[in-house]
Amino acid sequence: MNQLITVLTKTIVGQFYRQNAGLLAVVFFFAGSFLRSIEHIALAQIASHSLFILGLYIAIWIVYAFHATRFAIRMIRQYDVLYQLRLIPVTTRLISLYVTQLQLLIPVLAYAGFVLAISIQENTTQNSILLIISVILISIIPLSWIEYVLRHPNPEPALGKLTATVSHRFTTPYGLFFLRYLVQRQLVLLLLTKAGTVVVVLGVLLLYPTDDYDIRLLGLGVLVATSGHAALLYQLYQFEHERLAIYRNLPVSTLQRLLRYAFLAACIFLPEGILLLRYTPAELSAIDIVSVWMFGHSLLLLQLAILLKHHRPLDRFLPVIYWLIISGFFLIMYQFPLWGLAMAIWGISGWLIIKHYWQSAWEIQ
Amino acid sequence: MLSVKQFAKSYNNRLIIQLANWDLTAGIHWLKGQNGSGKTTLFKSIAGLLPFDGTIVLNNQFDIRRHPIDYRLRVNYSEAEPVFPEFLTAWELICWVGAAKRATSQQTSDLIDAFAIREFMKTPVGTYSSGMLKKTSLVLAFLGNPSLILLDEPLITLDQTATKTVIRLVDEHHNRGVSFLLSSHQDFNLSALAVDSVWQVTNHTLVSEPL
Repeated sequence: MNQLITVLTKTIVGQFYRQNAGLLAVVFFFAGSFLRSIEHIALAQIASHSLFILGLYIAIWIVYAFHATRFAIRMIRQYDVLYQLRLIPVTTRLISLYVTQLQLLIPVLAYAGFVLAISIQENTTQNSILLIISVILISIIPLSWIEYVLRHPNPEPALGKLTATVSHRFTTPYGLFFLRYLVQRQLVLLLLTKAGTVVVVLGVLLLYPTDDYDIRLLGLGVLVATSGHAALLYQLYQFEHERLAIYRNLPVSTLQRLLRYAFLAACIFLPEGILLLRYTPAELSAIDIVSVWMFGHSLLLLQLAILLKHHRPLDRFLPVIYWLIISGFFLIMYQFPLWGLAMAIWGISGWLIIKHYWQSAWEIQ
Repeated sequence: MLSVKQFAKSYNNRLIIQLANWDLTAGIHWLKGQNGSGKTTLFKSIAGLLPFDGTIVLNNQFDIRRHPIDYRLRVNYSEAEPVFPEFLTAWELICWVGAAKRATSQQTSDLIDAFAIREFMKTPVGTYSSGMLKKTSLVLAFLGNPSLILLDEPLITLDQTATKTVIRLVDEHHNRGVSFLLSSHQDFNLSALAVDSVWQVTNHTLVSEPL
């Protein structure tokens, strides 16, 4: 059984954490930067008394478990050899799959354990029991899905005909390749990233009229929101190097490539741009809002430029983003105008991309 | 035709391949070497996919760094094991690469028929077999009006008909003045191709071999 678990760990668990490093980084970034430990404890205390808040926690864990199980199923369909699991005695198979499932759920189990500990401290027996039962169900129910997949290999895709019709009628322009990749292959990362950054931007826009704030508040909000895109931009960097390597063989000038990155950054930053327009504080002019948008856009381009300058794994890229936040924080607080910062960052990003684009390579460390 | 000078490529300070001075005349050239010897790295460097030290100049005119557009208009590449985004169709890739390489619609259509990919080209690449993927990659390599086509292991995973198509297209294009750099474990001397030179990757460099 140990060998079977090792195989499943390498083919499913290892791949899951490797391929979802970006998503997990975004979650840890938002969970660690907006909520301090004292606030996590306070929330857990509320959850141990409120069924509604506990329900929200459980809902998030169910979404995570669904994502992890869907990934496991994708791996089983990708590596045909994993269908051989069907030939292994049912008890051994289920135990191995359950161990695999527990490994996939480590972040959920860790946080649920923390909430349970607080709940026990609070002597709220009902919510503690509910939490334990929920986590057990979250870890067991996906096994029936995996078991179903093992018994029904290579199914016809549910949306196969619709996808085929769309593919026959339309072609995707290059500028939208990456956006399609995000929607079709990294939807959870995309939704979580945009949900987090949109909440931040909306939050500062709604906070603005409540006190004597100035444009620096929006600058700080956009600084945090764009930093939350680090994992998404890393996906773009990885996507181009690994799956669209042929792009570097095409006769496209470096300037055109830079403009395409600028277009992509504008598309990615579109939801925040719409929010800035929709909820413009009365005290700010249109020029102020444009300068905030320019600042956000330039920061996205800068992150991409940093990646192209020097290849880094994602875990080494995130500390660079923290330095970016700290530097941006001081520049904003010392009242550098946002439009000026945007122009300077665009200039630096453009220079970095033009200078380093052709030297950039995806190198396995 | 292709001049490579002071070329060196390393990964994480590990030397893969270096060439002090390598001049290729127009024609068909066959690159041989063991797995992992650096053939693909050299191909990718010449195609402009990888950074390297040194210079590469095509037709004494187009430097890969100083004339990136002119150079890439004239150098095409087909990977040994092509990787494309699974959700794109071969047709989308062909339209994209064809537009960039300035291929005519007639040429595109002829290549699609030559490799018999019309039937499946509008389905996502993720559903392709390795042979279908290879045919797609080969169609892309012949698009436009290249002076040099790099074909890395062009015959692997292909069926007999497609293998004959590759040999025929290489021969036809060669007669029209297009040069080829091929790497293959299959013996090109056994085919109808008139190979002009054979090179073996040995000790991180290229050594000429008798035909």
